[in-house]
Amino acid sequence: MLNINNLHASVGDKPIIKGLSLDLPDGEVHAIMGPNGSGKSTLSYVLSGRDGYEVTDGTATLDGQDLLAMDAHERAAAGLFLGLQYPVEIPGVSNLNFLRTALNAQREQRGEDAVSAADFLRMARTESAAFDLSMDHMKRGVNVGFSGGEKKRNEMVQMALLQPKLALLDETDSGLDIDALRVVADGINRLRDPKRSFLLITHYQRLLDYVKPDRVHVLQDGAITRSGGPELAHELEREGYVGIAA
Amino acid sequence: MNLPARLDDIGLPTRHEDWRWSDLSAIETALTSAPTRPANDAAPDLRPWMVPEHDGPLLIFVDGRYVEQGSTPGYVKTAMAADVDGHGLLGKLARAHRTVAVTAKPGERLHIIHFASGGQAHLDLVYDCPAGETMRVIETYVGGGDCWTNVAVTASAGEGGRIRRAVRVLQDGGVWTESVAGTVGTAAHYGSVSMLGSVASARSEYALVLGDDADARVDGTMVGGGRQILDIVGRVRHEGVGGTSGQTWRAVAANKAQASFAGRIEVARGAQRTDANEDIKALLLDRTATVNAKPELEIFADDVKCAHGATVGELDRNALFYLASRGVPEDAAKTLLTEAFVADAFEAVENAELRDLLGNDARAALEAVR
Ligand SMILES: Nc1ncnc2c1ncn2[C@@H]1O[C@H](COP(=O)(O)OP(=O)(O)O)[C@@H](O)[C@H]1O
Ligand SMILES: [Mg+2]
Repeated sequence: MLNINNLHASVGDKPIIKGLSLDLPDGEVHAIMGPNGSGKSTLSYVLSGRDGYEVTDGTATLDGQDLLAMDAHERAAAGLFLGLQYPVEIPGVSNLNFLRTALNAQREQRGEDAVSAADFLRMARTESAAFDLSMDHMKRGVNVGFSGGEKKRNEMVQMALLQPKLALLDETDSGLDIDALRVVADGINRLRDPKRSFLLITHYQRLLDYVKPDRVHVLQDGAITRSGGPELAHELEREGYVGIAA
Repeated sequence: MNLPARLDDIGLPTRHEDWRWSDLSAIETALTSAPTRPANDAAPDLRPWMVPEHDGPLLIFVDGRYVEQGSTPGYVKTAMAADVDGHGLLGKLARAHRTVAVTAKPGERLHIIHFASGGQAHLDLVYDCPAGETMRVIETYVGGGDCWTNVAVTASAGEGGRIRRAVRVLQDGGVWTESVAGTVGTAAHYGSVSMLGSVASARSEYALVLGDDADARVDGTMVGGGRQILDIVGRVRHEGVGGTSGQTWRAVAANKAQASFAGRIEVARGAQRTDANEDIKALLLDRTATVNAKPELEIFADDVKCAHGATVGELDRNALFYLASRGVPEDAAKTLLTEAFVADAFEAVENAELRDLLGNDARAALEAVR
């Protein structure tokens, strides 16, 4: 699914990602854990094609397609989804309009027919209910007046509607209370599929108690310093990143 | 009084502060031009600008002349009205040179549509809303060429009366100017919303005087491209206690366009508990465009709340990335964000169809400038 090889990336002139390699096979869930400032969000932005994040070396492919050669919107249409650590507020654009525009933009790029207004509304109703967001939230401006937890659940609604091949979820679990964490984890588990992979970026092993990862990677100073099974998350929790580093 | 033939005949105070951003050369062109439609002609095809499902009175004007064919004036009087003070030079000019004055009183929503084909046209509109009544009007300005459409609006709302006015300036080129003099009585309301696009040069002057517990809103959107010059000069004066007012303007300027707003809030001695607000935001689509914003406060009472904010910026890069990350191409994302930006100025419009109509006008204007 996702293959990253010796990736180097800079923000401005500052190198942040320094020789990162990762293989995420079809249908698997991998977790990336790392201290603040280690480059987790930067990695997610580089993979999703944000302006200002410059790749200086290495490759990244999605199902064999060169991700780095595509514009951000093309990567989304190719099946990449980024759940943002800090979802953006867009006053004046309703959540429903945002989602429908996104869904149909992706479908158009893939040569598929647009989803009708009625079908879309049905899907939006189902998914907002699944993530415990009211239709009122769906009619409001994107993330405007949403609590931190509501913003994260809104990211999940988007993921569920857009049905990506690969979901990069950047600290979707931070700022969630235990009930919301459950709702989010259930949603991820429901979407797990042999043809869909997840990269969960997280600080805590908490989310990983609900969504069992196949592999856990430790990201430190822009590179993966250790990889292991789910037990690595518990080890990290006990010993901290400093203990693991060596 | 003869129609002015030269700019000097009008005697506009060009060196005055209030006029520094306006463009008078286009007025000059119109003064030496004539209508391209014969004076006995019926109205052109106005269907593209009609208000859907409109069932109130409809008044059609061509080059300042009232056209009976197609008009359905109903209860609206089209005759000479008595002179009323309160206007600046433009307003006085319009009142002196009108061919007909429209005096509207409450009833169903009124639609006035003016088609300009060239030369100067002066309209004199009087909105007289008695106590406790509500009147609604939509004005649509279309046509184009070497024309100058000059409108005087004299509005007065008696105690508890409500005037709701929507102004669509969709003239394709030429000049459009208006002078609004409004008196908002005790607990009365005056609300207007404007959509200024496509015209080569526009100037809206308004002066509203508010009594006790009166409320006024003057909102609008300016969309300019090319070398368009759009200019708002507003004055809201609170003379009574407990008055509220809001002015929300959004401007989008592309290419070499210039959009300006000078808005003055005056709070007279004794006008306690006034709450006045001015909210101006502009979006520059190109670095070559210009936006001027000048809020002014003159306050002679102590227990008042006056807020004003003016920002000039570009589209939010975080929002653009967010949309891109969801699969929306850059152009479509920019369109969506720009439409959302201008729609802010239509928030106070209660009627959803009218809000959509203005949104569509704005969308068309935005498409034209990029
Ligand atoms: N836009 C930026 N400009 C400059 N430095 C940045 C920018 N974004 C991130 N960085 C730097 O990159 C490093 C990694 O940041 P980030 O990827 O946000 O880490 P994490 O998500 O792991 O907490 C930090 O040192 C941060 O200061
Ligand atoms: Mg981060």
